[in-house]
Amino acid sequence: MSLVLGTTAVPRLKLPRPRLGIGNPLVAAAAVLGAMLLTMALLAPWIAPFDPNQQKLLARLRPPVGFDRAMAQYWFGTDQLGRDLLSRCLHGLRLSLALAFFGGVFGLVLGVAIGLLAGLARGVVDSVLMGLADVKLSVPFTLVALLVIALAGTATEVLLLVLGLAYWAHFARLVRGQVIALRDMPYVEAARAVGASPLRVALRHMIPNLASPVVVMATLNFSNLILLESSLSFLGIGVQPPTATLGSMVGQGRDYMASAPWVVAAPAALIVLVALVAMLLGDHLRDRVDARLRER
Amino acid sequence: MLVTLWVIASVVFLATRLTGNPIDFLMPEGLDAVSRAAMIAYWGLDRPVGEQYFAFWTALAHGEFGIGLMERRPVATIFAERIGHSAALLATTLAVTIAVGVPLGVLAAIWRQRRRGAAVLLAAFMGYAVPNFVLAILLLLVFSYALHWLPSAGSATPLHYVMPTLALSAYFVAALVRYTRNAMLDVLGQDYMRTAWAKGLAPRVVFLKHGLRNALIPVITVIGLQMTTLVSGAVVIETVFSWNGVGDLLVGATLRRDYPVLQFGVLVVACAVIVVNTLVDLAYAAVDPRVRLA
Repeated sequence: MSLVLGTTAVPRLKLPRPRLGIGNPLVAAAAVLGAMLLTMALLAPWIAPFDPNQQKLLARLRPPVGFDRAMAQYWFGTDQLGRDLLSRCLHGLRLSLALAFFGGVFGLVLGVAIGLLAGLARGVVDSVLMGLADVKLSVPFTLVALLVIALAGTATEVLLLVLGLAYWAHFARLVRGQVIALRDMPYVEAARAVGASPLRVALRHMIPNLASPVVVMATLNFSNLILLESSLSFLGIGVQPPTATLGSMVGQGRDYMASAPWVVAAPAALIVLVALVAMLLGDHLRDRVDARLRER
Repeated sequence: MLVTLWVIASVVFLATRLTGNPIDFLMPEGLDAVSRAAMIAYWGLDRPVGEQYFAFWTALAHGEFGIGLMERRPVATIFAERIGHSAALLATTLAVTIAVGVPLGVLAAIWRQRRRGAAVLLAAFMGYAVPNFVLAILLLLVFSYALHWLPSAGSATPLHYVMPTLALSAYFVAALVRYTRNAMLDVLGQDYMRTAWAKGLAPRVVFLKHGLRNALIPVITVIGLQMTTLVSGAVVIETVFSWNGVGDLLVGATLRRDYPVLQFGVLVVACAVIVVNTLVDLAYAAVDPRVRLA
């Protein structure tokens, strides 16, 4: 803002440019790493050197390149069935990210819909839906996951359902709170006054205004979903063999880790890396949104 | 609280009845139609859902919780043998979490301008991102397989508690450090803190009596909220360390589709979590005298 004295020109108000705030080196590193991991996951079928499920029994439990007994074509070594760990890591990363992403989207849509309904309908509908959300939040979710998986099996769709059910109540509560705050805003009243239907009010006037906290919450939940999926797959009740996810690779490699720690090390390190990157970016995004809200 | 339990029990009941006939999972393959019908009649699965629902509650009221399909024993007995192990693990974890997390959080707040504070925060961030089973495996590799210092499975001696407790508490220590730090930072800026300093009180008294006591209120809330996550984590950790507890039992029951055990397990654990949350509410009163009036 520059107000030059002695001129008659009206000083121009400079609006702060919206920035991503990549100034923080830690956040920048996380963003670069995240982009790399995402690219690797997306391109997995084309960049993986081997078929992830192809077994070579003569090349079992080979260590990564650089160790004794290593074979040059297996960069990360091989697992107990002679499968290439690099290829499995890439495909596992792809599936883990996809499950967390689509599970998260499912939970977001479900939670936002329930939150909108509860906030707009009020009354009995509101009490029942929020009561359900409270029940959901008071039960350890792993138990629900175990029950659903025992009843419905371990198909990938079931796992998606489980991941979607994990955070709907968080979204529903957040959205309901926002809806109640927005409901009495003059522009919403005006929309209703000119005869907009409740659906139109919800879609056109509510959703754009509650999008940013919802997106922040979704980002923060992403790392939790990664951890949930890998925990379930680790326990053997998530994605079923031979399909690789990062969690199931750790779970199945567990029996061999005393003699072949690399079988577990690579997927475990990837899980930590993905969770760390997602968490850093989510935290950063939340701070940005909060800061913007404070500036208003 | 009772409504919550009723909803949970009903959802569990409906879920088990709506997703097909459990008989088909239990019986050997190629079972002839007559014995299959007999089994269905025996378990009462041919009766109307309303009647089954009534029978379900009658049985619960009589203390009949069903027979475990694998062990062929009442589920209540199976749980009674195991719940103590789980409770002991949760207790040590909770103790470690509070004993380490709260002081570190206070220190991180006091050191907020210094390197040490940043180091504590960074460690807390790592604790968040490393999943408990990865940490458990890392501990196993180092302390069991490489150094042979600690036993890798079971729950017999105090030494058995070290690794499961560490692996389970890491995440919650991290969470508690962050929440305690934030709560302390909020409190440190208050007027009464300036007054306390101005009175010339010793730093220890200012930080602990005026600072921590007020910061603890939101921290206790968080501990209560984290109970469900803690139980979820225990399920995984018990499986890794072959801990003879409820979590290990429930994972096994899931793999073998042992419905009575699962059904009962969800009810028992949900009850336990709700009771603990009520106790946490009572803990407010001990810290915050204002709550006692309400």
